[in-house]
Amino acid sequence: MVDLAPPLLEQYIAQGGHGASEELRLSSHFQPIFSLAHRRPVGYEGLIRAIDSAGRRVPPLELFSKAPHGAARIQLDRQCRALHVRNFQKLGNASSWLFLNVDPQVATEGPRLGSFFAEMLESNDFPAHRVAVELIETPFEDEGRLTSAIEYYRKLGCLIVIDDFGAGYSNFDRIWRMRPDIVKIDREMTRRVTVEPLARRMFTGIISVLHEAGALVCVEGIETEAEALCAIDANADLIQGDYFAQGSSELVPENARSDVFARLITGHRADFADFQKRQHLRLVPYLAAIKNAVQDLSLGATFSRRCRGC
Amino acid sequence: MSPREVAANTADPTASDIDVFPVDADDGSRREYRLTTHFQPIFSLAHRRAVGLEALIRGTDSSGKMYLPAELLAQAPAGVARMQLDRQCRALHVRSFRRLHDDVSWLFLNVDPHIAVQGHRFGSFAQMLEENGLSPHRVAVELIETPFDDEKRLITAVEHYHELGCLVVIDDFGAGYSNFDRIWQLKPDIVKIDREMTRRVTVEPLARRMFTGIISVLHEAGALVCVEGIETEGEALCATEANADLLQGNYFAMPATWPPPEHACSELFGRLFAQFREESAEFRDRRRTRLEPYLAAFSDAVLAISVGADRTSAARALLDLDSTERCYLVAADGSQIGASAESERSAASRDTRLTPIRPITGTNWQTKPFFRRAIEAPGKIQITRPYLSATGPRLCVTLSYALLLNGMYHVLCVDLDFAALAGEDLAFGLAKAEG
Repeated sequence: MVDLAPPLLEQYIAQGGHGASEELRLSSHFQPIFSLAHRRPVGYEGLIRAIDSAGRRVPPLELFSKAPHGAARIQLDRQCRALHVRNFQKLGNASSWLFLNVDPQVATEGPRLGSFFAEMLESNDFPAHRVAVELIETPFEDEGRLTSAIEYYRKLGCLIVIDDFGAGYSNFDRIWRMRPDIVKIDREMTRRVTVEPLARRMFTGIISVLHEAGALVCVEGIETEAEALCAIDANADLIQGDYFAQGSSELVPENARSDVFARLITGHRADFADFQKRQHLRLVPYLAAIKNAVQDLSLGATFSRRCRGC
Repeated sequence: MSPREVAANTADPTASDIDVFPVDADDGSRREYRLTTHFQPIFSLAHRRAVGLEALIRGTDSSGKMYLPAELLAQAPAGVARMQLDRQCRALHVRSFRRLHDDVSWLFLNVDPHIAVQGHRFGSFAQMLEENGLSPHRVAVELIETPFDDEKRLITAVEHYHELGCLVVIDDFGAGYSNFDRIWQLKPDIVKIDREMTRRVTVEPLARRMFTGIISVLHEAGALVCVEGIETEGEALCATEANADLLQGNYFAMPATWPPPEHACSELFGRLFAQFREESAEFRDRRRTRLEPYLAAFSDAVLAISVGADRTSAARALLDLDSTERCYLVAADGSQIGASAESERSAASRDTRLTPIRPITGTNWQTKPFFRRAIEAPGKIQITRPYLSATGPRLCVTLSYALLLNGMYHVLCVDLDFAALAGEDLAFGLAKAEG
């Protein structure tokens, strides 16, 4: 049973094609985002849940397809964000980040419908520095306007999050232009690293480049222990996914997953020690041979003869 | 003298291959475009000479107006005519390339992925190569960056070229749709970095620091990396520093109907390498000078702690230095012991936005490079690359050192404010550092 107690719920009236309208009930789910170093949630992503009049769950993509563009889209996007802030505030969490998705289209077109976000946060008494604004990956024509929208959120004091990095249009040029505080890695990449050695080798490097850009890195969409281990191995800062906790209308207790983290990190330590041992064993003969070669060369042996033994 | 130089000296340059492409307009009139191939050399940094030539089409109409590749393609009506023009250009390139009598270099050919997947209606690419006597292993097929809705067909096209024996090149990496997912799917032999990135690295310290990392990730993917669109010495130096394999751009050689002789750029490369060596040496000196006081104070702190001094007094001199942010001790399992000793300046400039991830006792650093590297090599100071400081809002570098306390390994760490350490020196990227 979903708890449909009043303040958790809001109505949304979608206008159909022939003047018909449809009434949907909206509520918030929150999926925790964990810090690996702290082994507890440090943020929650607000996710919209919609139910139609027949009681059927309407997936977010379908919900947003009911207001594909223009003022209707901006209003729906704003309504969802306001609902998340109110619901999150009600849950009494006073320290974590709230991750809110913003459609880049809305971020750039919204201002012409009047200012909204700063007032909404203020009227709900929610500090901007606890809000992480997540920009959804989308091919975006007017990158200049997107940059100014981002400046708006940054000036308010919010953290800037880039979503789906490494896929489609979410690329390095975006990192340089937007200077995000947090970069979320594309789910498809997370899945790939567990099955493709090539992707796995590159994963650590990609995360390290993002660190060097001054961003925290969040690996999302983690569904299996193998994916979690890859994220740990690649030095991610934040992790999110059903493997740790699904989205829910309630917040998970702080230490709900400490045992999972303890197990994962111990497992990772063992894996890593194993790996180093294997690597060392394979390299031993080469290291010994090159050492000998260096010694012989420094004593005057000719290069070609000396390296035959390598 | 290389075969190419012989050809350049003996052939009449005006006699290079010229094709004509007619376009019939709707009103029945016919316009003709004269097509010629221009070659731009692609240099190997290690060999200091051209190892490939990119073929670029140039079109001229009857009034003598010149058209660049995209403009020219737009002259042909979309559909069959445009596909034919595209194929005709490639065939012309191969014929012109053969006329150079170059038996070593790669020929880089641009292929629109859409055309590549549609394309066997007018005879295959393999057939065209065979007819013109060019072996596929000499051809590098360059896929133009484009939002491609049917990635599966793109993969099929790439597999086709791989099977033929061609090299596959991904163009414009790092911009638009040319992203890591493409690398994994297509497994290219060569990746060309987007021109915009090349330009950015010379003006933005952030991009410059990341450049080396991006190229190293591409190397790890098993690709050679080509930096194209190089127009200035600054851009050439950045590419050299970042460990690119191949370089291309007007700074080295402009596109021309006849490529320059093999050693045309030797002097330029000599200068580039000399400057690179000089800059690297200077950089190492600066870095050493800047880090020296911190390394000395850090060694003192390690010594004091290992003989039992309390942490605050042991780290005092270190915390008094200008760029020090905080000092902390980590147990062998990665968990931080007690709070960090924070410098006053750092405490005063905390970023409230980062409160949720502020380090406290028990925060576990086991997966972080500064911890892992220290514990793997006890007795040696480790220096990280810059990353976001846990207390923000700046980048920091961490010095770490594993020492024995009561028979157990511990890691002493100090975070230094990277910007303060680097000062005005924006290129202080640690990118050139061996650490």
